[in-house]
Amino acid sequence: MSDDSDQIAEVVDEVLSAWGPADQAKPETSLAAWEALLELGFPYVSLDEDLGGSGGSHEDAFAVLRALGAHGSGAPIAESGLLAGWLLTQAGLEIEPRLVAFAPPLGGTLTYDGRTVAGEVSGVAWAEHAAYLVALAEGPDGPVVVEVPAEALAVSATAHTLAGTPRSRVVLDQAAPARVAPSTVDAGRLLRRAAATRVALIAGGLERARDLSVRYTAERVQFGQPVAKFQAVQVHLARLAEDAALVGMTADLVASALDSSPDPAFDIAAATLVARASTRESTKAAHQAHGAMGVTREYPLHVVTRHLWQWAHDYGSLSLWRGVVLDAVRAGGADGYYPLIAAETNGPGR
Amino acid sequence: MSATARDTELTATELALQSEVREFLAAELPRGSFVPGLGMVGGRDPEFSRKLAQRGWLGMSIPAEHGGAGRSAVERFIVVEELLRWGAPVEHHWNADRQIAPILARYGTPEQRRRFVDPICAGELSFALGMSEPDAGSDLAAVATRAVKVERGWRVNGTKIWTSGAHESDWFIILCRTSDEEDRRQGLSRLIVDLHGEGVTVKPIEFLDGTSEFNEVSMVDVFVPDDLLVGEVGAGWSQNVAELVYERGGPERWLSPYLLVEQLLREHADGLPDAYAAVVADATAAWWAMRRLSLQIARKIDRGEAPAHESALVKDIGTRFEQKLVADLLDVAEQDVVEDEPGSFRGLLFAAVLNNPAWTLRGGTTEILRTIITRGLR
Ligand SMILES: Cc1cc2nc3c(=O)[nH]c(=O)nc-3n(C[C@H](O)[C@H](O)[C@H](O)COP(=O)(O)OP(=O)(O)OC[C@H]3O[C@@H](n4cnc5c(N)ncnc54)[C@H](O)[C@@H]3O)c2cc1C
Repeated sequence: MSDDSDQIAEVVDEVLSAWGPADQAKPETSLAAWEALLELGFPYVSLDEDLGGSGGSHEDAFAVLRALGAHGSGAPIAESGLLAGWLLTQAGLEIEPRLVAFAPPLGGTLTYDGRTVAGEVSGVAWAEHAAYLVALAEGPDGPVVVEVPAEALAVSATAHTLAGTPRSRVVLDQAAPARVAPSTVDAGRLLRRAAATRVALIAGGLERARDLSVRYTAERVQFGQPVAKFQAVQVHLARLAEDAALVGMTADLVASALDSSPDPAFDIAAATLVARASTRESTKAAHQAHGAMGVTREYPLHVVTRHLWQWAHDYGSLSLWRGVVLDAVRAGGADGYYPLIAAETNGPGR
Repeated sequence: MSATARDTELTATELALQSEVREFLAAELPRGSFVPGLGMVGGRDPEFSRKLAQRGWLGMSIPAEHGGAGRSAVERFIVVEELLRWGAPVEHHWNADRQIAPILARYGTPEQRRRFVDPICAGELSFALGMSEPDAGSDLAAVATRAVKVERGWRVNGTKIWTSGAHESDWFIILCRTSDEEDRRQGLSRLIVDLHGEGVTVKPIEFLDGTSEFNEVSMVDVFVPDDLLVGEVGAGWSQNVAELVYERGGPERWLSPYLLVEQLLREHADGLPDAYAAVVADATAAWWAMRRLSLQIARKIDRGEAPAHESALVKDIGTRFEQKLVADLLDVAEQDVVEDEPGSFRGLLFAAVLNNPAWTLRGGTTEILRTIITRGLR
């Protein structure tokens, strides 16, 4: 990380440390954390300063997400800031600093007929708390970005994710948008960016799961010694260390890829596969290493593992991301295969 | 750009080297003209090693004043990576280039460097590694081979085992006991021993597939002159530890089954069957990530760091991945896995299934690595 992103991570960490780990899991904490971070401009890092963004690189933005991931915070920095805010700035619209709901690219289709928006999206995070819904819609002449005020939204079927954060279905019936602009971004690119935010969040979560496990197993004594002395337990710790190192590195790579290329599809897809596989194994290892303590509400492990399970499930199925990787593999064939791994080609999405 | 991206991006000079190696391989060893191997056991061909040497690709990261090419660890990484993923015959120079030349450049006398490093860089000498013994596997400090000081040298007695390539190498380096100390890691030294010398007997040990790559090497009253002691008397253990960084984090820990996938794509140029899709996608993503982690270790070495913890991490991540890939491919393979077509997908899979149990043993077992990794976390 650069000095800038190090500092950013430190400040975000400090802000989030105002809440104890047990509180972190409460929705009201996520909202309060959002407010606190909003005041400092953190949701809009890497977005165009002329349009209300906070400037900086994706590396800086990922530092925010990783700190969030490490705290297991549900503050919607990604959805409300790095995704909805980005969608707005990409369309030349100014960001207004407030909580907005983001329509996930695979959640449903909205159409804009030149005047009003119609359709339905599901899986919208924090919809009940948002002032607006920001979405990509199909317009008469291609994709448009719409911002629809809360009054024009029918929010229903609110349910809690694996991480305990709310997601809802939002129905738009002839809803008049407050702002509309043609979008240079299509649904595929938006989905890839959304997945990229998960890699960063997961990287932070895995580091925390590792650190909690290292500390707990060094303190917990059974058979007269810290359980970390048992090699069977060390297998879990090694796995956590490996996954945290691997995913941490891929998050760095994706941040840099986003800074140097508009839509690094292969890198994001590959990083997503790696992050998901690591999450699967490392959350298992962390819980096993913790024994019963790890499954209590009181102990903070679940605050990160529940988010990790959710983040590894968000934005596209495993087969969708495998498909993106395979498209690149097939395009290069046998002779292009190593250059693809070594990231030298300008294949699809590079 | 993040520090990681900077570390893992290749410079223009490095990319030029990469294409030079690729052109060389395409010309010297065109696909189809040889039977490719699985990583570092890709076969032995002294002639090929000498050609690499002529290009300056052996002893690359040895400082020029010590007879090497004075290039970086990253440049060596690039060459090794290309050779391994091509399945090239690297065994003749492998140990000499990876371990012996750096050891002697660091601890050796000027005379030893002249005598060994120069010919290693010329692709002329091959070395085996004599660490393990019948009663000293993971617990290397238990070595019982003993060197007793005699006039002008040492008299050595003991037996080394699992010594890869000893039957085809010129020399081997041994870890042996030169004095008894309370701390078993003290009192160990390293000597260079002539495999064709008097008192040395090399007996092949058959691998499970019937091939003979490793050996038992017994030494009975073998005389080793003073000038073949490496570094200080009693410094064997610390030399050994310092070396592991080079040995553990490199491309040989994740490229062993690489050709299986490339060959699979070659045999299905008109479309990869769906059965393989998930396995290939996951492997591609894993390679993309692991390669960068491994490359980062080479960068750190070039900055003068000693990334021991990271090397152990990479070896465990890499070898665990390698074994999983072979098992996954075997699960979905649509054809019989038989030996008859070396170099074909099924021929490579045959070899990989029989060889992969060794990948998590050689160079220190997975269990031992995990202990090292955990220790580094505290
Ligand atoms: C193909 C191949 C090539 C080789 N080439 C060479 C060579 O060229 N030169 C050379 O010197 N050696 C070589 N070796 C030997 C290799 O380094 C050893 O096999 C390895 O260090 C393990 O020693 P061992 O086989 O005696 O197993 P052991 O040490 O007997 O281990 C048996 C099992 O017990 C576990 N175990 C042992 N101690 C511990 C512990 N403290 N904690 C947890 N688990 C433990 C091990 O992980 C393993 O699972 C080679 C091995 C192979 C398979």
